Amino acid sequence: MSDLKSPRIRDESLAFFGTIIAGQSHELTNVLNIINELAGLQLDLLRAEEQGLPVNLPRLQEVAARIQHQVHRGETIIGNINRFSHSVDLPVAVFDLKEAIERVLFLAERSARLARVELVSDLPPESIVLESNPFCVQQAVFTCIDLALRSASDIRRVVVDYVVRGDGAEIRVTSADHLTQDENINDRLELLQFLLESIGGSMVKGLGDEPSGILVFRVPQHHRAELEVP
Amino acid sequence: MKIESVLLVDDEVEFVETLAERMRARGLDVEYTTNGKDAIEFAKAKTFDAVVLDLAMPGMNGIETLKVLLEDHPDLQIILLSGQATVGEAVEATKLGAVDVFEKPTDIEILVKKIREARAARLALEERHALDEIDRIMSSKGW
Repeated sequence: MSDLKSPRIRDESLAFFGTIIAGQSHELTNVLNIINELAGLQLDLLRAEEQGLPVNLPRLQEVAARIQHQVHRGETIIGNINRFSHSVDLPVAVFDLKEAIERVLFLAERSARLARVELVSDLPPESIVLESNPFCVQQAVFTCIDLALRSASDIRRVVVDYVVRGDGAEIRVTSADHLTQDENINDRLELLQFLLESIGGSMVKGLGDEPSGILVFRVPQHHRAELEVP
Repeated sequence: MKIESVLLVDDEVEFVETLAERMRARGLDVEYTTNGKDAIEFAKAKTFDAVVLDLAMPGMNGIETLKVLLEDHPDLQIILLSGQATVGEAVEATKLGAVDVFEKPTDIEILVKKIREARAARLALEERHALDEIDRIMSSKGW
């Protein structure tokens, strides 16, 4: 069983945390930049009055609505950052798997967009409450998505879903294209293996098992006793 | 009177649309696109006084786009805009030929002033090239 205290896992966890926070800070900056331009546009529209022109009230209202939309977008980003950051609070927590995966999908959206990949959520209506390490589970999902994004240059669509099976769940990350294996990917696969071992999970299907490219791993519903905590 | 023409390149549609509208209100001839590949095509079809380029974009990022644009049009005045540029990125962009690197949010008046300066710089370069060409022709004729 791998140890969460191992330097490798600690370094990788810190890198994962940093990647997510840096990415979301960029997203938040984008939101603030848009608000800045929209507020500037409102001022431009109001200055029309100084030049003796009528104030375009419907336009001002439309711009205000766009600002509100960006504020909501910012709130969603902050909410996800907050919940993600708190997922390191406890080494073992009771959490909803669907919510955790939805959060990872949201947080991975920037990476996918920059890689010009469509990240699709195909989560079932039923969920499962896990008693496990929420941070490790999220990191495992993100690592699979990251593998899918980096393993082939022409991937354009990655679908994430899961099935509740027995005393646990199987999480699937499926690429529209064949996932190829190389040295960099082996490093990520090794990390995934470490993470899964630390939460009592296992790889069900790895890279190259199917022409379509699919990664499947299983997480048990309860993994409290065996979990080694920092 | 000729007006300054600028191409804005940023993957945030709402940002680039709004910035374009505000620049047009200040008398600039503005076109915009959301990716580097299209920016290269735009620059082939029209001569711009300046290109305002975002650093972080899907597909071709700002640095990659900057390289291709300057390969195709060495006199092009490129201003980089970035959400959170590192010092290294700013230095690299300047070394590659960007005329300036601004952190977002940027005051529109400063950006417009920079674009006007870019037009003046581009026209000066054009004039210099024309004079060099005249010199070359005259030299070749032994004058």
